[in-house]
Amino acid sequence: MTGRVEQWGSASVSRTLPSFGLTRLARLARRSALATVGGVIVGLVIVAALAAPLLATTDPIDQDLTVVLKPPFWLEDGSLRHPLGTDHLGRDVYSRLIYGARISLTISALAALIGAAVGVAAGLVAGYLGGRMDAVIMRIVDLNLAFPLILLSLAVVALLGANLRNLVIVMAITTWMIYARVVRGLSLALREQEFVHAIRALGAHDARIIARHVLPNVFAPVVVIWTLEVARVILMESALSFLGLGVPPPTPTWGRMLAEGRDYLTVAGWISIFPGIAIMVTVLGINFLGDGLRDLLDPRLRGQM
Amino acid sequence: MTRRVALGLAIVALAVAPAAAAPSGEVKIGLAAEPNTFDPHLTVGRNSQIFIVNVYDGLTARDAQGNLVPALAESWKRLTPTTWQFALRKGVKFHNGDDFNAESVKFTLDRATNPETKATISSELGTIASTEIVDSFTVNVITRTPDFLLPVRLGELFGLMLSPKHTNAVGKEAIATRPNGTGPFKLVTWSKNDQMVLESNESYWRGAPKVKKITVRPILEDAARIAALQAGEVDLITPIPYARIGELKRNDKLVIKTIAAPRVFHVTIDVRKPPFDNVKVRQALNYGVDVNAIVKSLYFGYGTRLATVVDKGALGYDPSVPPYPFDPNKAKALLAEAGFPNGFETEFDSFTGSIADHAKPAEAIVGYLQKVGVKVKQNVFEFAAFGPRRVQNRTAPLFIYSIGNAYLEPSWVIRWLTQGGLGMHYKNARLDEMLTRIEATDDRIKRAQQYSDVQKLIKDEAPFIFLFQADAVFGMSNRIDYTPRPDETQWLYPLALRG
Repeated sequence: MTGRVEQWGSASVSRTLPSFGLTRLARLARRSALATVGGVIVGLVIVAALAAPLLATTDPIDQDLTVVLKPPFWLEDGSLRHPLGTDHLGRDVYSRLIYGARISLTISALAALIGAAVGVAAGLVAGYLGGRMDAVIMRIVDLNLAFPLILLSLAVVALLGANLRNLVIVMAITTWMIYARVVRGLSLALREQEFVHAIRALGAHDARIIARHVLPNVFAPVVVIWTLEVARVILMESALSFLGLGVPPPTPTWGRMLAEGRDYLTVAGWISIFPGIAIMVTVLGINFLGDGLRDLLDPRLRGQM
Repeated sequence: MTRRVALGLAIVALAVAPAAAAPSGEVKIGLAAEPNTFDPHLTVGRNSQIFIVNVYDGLTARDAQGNLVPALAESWKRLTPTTWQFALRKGVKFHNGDDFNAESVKFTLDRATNPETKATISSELGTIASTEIVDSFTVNVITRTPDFLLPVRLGELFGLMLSPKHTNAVGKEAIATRPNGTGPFKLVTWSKNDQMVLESNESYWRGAPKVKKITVRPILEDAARIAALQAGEVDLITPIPYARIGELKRNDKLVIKTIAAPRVFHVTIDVRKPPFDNVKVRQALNYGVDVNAIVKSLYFGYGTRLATVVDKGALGYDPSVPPYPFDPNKAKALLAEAGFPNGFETEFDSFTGSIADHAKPAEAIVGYLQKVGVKVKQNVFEFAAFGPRRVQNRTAPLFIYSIGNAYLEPSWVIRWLTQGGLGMHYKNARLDEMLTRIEATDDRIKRAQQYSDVQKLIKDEAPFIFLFQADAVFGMSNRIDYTPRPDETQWLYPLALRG
């Protein structure tokens, strides 16, 4: 008897969560050129971040005040020693860009992950249990959503101080509500599904039902939201760094590079332009990939593939 | 410096020549900040204090070279060690027609020192015990302890005079936006964060200003302020980022003037905490930072390397005391001698959002310290968050700061830097004794000579990483004439239209 119920459960999982097989990826690639482009971009950025020590030509925080504001190699006075030029402290823009990918990606992925964990948990509890719990959690979500997010982050970072851990926490705070909202709606519907009624009738605990049967069914949309949120969090990290509330110096992050170059835009634009391009391309890539994933994971679109 | 002064004098001379004409025309100004209030006793931050002087006068003032000159007081003398007598200027009127006299001075100083006023500048006037009216145009100011700086204190930053009648009539709140001073300009309208209109005071005792109307707009963002000047929306702006000076100088419609400001940048070292209790470590830090390179690359040369915390415009600045040379090997050797051949770990506080950029030089300094083996963790705070850290003495062993030497008097700066609080813990009995002796010397020349030894002592003791003073930068259109002052004050009286 139990076996049959489990089957129902897993059947419903396979209905909405396909395996990420190579053939399927290939099919996705054929279907969506954009998703491929996105995947390639994100892949390249991840490789750059992982292989930063190999790719970088110099130490990204090593300053040399004798070679400040040198232009990229293709401009007059530039040299291949600093392919993308140097900043106001004579640091190599190219190496900082490569190492910056590490920080920007790590912070964003982590923050989006923590936000997802908290948001999904809250959404599951609210949606599945309903009642007063639902009301309380959703009012907290509303409250959080009603707050201007940048202002909230500014306040928290200014109070707690700017470091990597606080930044991740702050950005997780700005992202969990979206998951909670979506997951609550989904689990509200799932709660009334026949297979869930059946399992409950068999005496399964709420905790077990949520973990084994509801959670797998909300997984796909969460993955899609996650990719889009990573992109948003990268922008937010840039904004906070730009406002001087990001990771403390001399750690290179794209947002900090952008901000540092602001004062030199007319005399040494490359300090800001390259990290600006990096942010734009990465965020675009992640968005493409997220769209592709949605197509891949959406059961209603599956038939067309 | 001398060339700049000469240039300044020439400009002043040119500007003074046609002074007989009545005020005319309008000049628009873009500033990075506007005052928080026109109540001289409730100003917050130097940005306010350096501006509201345009509406008021102090008992004393400074000329274009920074010399102390008479203003509302025509002369002053010390009667006893704790009594200063001021002879007041006669025939001066406030903007609303009230007479300026001894009663105004007593009223103003009583208000400033009354705890109920909660004056933000009370620490600057803290030595005043009482003010006595001798006759209508003579007052005695009695200090708790001998205070040789009193005439400077009662100058343009902290000694601005109020009209008793007006101040009592409009009340404490309204004085913030309805000032009534004796100064060269009257405040006509002020919509905060938007614009302020000043109009010339035609019966000003120094003679009417040359410009009839001045509009002041706060333009917070550097790029926007510069764009406003380039577009001709404003005629005068300050400050300007050093990186933009070269480009603006090439524009023949603009004139860029720089002047050494008395703001002394330094890194405070917590001498109580090992290893900084060892003078060799402190000297090593000074050898390890290439301050000349910082001035050249971050300030594009618009600054002056300083040997100590005494700025070059201050009384008794001794150019024969050489700064620590940049010598990383010597720094490493000193660290090794002190028992740290492999350096040590420490923290360094810096901040953003104050009157000047402290984060960039801090980053460069930290970079240099890393290179001689000191592993420094740099913290960056919002200035508002850094303030409480200092008040509670929770600063890191190293922190960057700058102090505007408003009095152009080394003893005031050094006393402030060795006050034993706000994160500054260096104490030296010999230094105290030297300063006390200097402060008892009324004669400027004799005082100046004694400051040489003070500078030598501080340099050797190295309780700070000695840095530089940065120039103040003013940009103006070629239709106006303006000479900035060497003491940060935004004194608009000499402003004139060309042709």
